[in-house]
Amino acid sequence: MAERDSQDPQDSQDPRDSPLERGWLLSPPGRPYLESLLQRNRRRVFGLLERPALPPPLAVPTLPYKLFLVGRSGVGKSALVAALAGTPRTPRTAATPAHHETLGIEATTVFWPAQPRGSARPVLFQLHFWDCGDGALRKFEHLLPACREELDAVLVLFSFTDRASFEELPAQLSRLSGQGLVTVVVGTKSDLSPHAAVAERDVRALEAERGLRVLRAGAAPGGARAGLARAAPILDSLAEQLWKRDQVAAGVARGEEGTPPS
Amino acid sequence: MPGEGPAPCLLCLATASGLPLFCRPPRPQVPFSLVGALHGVHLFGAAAGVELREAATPTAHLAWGGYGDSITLILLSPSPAPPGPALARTLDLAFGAMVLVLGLDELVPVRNVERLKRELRSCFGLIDALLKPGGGWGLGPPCSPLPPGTPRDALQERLERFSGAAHTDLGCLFFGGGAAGALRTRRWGALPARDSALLAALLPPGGALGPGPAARDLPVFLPNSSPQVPHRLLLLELVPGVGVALLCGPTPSLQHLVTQLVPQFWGPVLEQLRGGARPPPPRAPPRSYLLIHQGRTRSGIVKGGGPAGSLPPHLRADALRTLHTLLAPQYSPEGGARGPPPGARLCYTALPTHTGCCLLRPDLLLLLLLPPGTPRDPLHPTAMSALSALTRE
Repeated sequence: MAERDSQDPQDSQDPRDSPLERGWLLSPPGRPYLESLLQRNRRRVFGLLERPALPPPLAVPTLPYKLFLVGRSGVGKSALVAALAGTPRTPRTAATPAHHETLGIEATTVFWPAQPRGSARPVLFQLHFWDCGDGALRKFEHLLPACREELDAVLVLFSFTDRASFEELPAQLSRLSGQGLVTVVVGTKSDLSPHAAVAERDVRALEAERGLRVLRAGAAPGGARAGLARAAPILDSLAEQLWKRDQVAAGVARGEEGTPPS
Repeated sequence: MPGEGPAPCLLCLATASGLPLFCRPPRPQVPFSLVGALHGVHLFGAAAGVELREAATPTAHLAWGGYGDSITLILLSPSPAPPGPALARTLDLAFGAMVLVLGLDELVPVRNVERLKRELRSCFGLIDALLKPGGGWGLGPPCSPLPPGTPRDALQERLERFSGAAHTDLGCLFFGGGAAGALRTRRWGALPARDSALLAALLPPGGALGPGPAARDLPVFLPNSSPQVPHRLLLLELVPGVGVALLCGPTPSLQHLVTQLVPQFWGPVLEQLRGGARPPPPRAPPRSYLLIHQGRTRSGIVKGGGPAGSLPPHLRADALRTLHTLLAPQYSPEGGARGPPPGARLCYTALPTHTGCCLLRPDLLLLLLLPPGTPRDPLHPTAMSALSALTRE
């Protein structure tokens, strides 16, 4: 993910409003939790039965969430999941094609420790990213209901280099919004600014119109820790929105008690 | 100029119109005039009532395969290439890969060429893995037996119960980078060879799908068993290097499997599964033998078996692979073939760099590499002593 300047809407919201401490994992208090995500200086790949190994004094509750990525073919859904999970991708050579369509549903698990503001203990978010190839979704009817089962959040992706994917966004957003579903819009390939077909002002117009924040993701080389530092803002933002939703649903909004759920 | 690079080149055409559907690898590009000529000569033969299968030129080996009068596959392989049935097998597996992803109904007959070209792009991962030099599915990655101390029977029983809970009788528990080191339900083991080779190519790690997702739900069409009705292939990685594959119908959903069934059935044996996981074997370790027995493949160095001759270690793997490709389709007990002809016990090839010796039995096949110039008479006793050394382990 490329570094963004101070105009980045991800930073425009006052950090003190956030229910989770931003950047906590990369700060000194989060260090033991960060180490549990790494193995031999690379992001650890967890199987379905595994969790980050933490010593008993540091044990924390695990909160599982299911997130579904939606977007046109080639917009970068699988690439985004790989970047967030820290999975190595085959380096692109002349022989390797740029884009392989995902054949079916791929579910990747990302563990993300976070510190809620004012709480004594951190919590461990277990984020299941479900990614399905666009062609397969259209061809096989059973895949979309399988993805929507017990869903917590939808990530709607568009690419800065593909105008059509941006223009489909309103239709996608209205089709997928549901009760209690967190919706997040992510713009991929934000580092390819010379080829951008979507201008910044269009994105800001969308943000103003819909009242949502658009996250940005772009590729850049680097090792495991660098990749984690770039994935952190997106994962923090996702964790924050899921946490907020759960707090409101439980009737416990930040700082207020006994408020009935809206 | 294709055919001179190290990797073979696969062309796919619609038979009726001669329109190219894809070419893997895409670079270097095969000139359209060459594609047309190759297709034309195949059609010319067909019009004369002759099926053109293979041709050899000074720089390349060519192989043709026609499927259902609808799809033609042409393979250009740099020579020297594996001789004999290897090229035809590659074509067969490539068509099988296309059927696996798209289903037979999309391929035979071809209705819309442009749409088919777009859809065929999904197969490129599988086909590239097939065409990679040394990556052919016939042999696959070096396979190791289950590590000692793995409670095979207990895990087999657990696999059967897990498959039953998932409403299927096709399940496979695979370990550490090779489908041969695997436990299978009875019906999975009874799948036709082409289907199980294609499924094995998809199994992580080292499969054609790449690392990353811990759970996958892929619609697949088994080319031999059900080319028109899709099954769901569920790939679940329990711990890195150990996973379960299931072929299911519409139920259970992936969400239910991942959240309920996997922790329920495989959670209790987590430590045993971890013990079974091992890193993928290093590429082309020195090997001197290959044993195929009871559906499992083992390879390695025979202890005290003497040197393998003047072959450097990295070439031994290729020598074994070539020998296997030459002999397995005819003689291998699991190759779905006739089995060794009655009375045949041993066959061998004598080459300047090594002597390859193959022991044939109804239930197993043993390939050995021996120093060049080994006389013929001691071959059988040598092979028998190597076999007893191996089966004693």
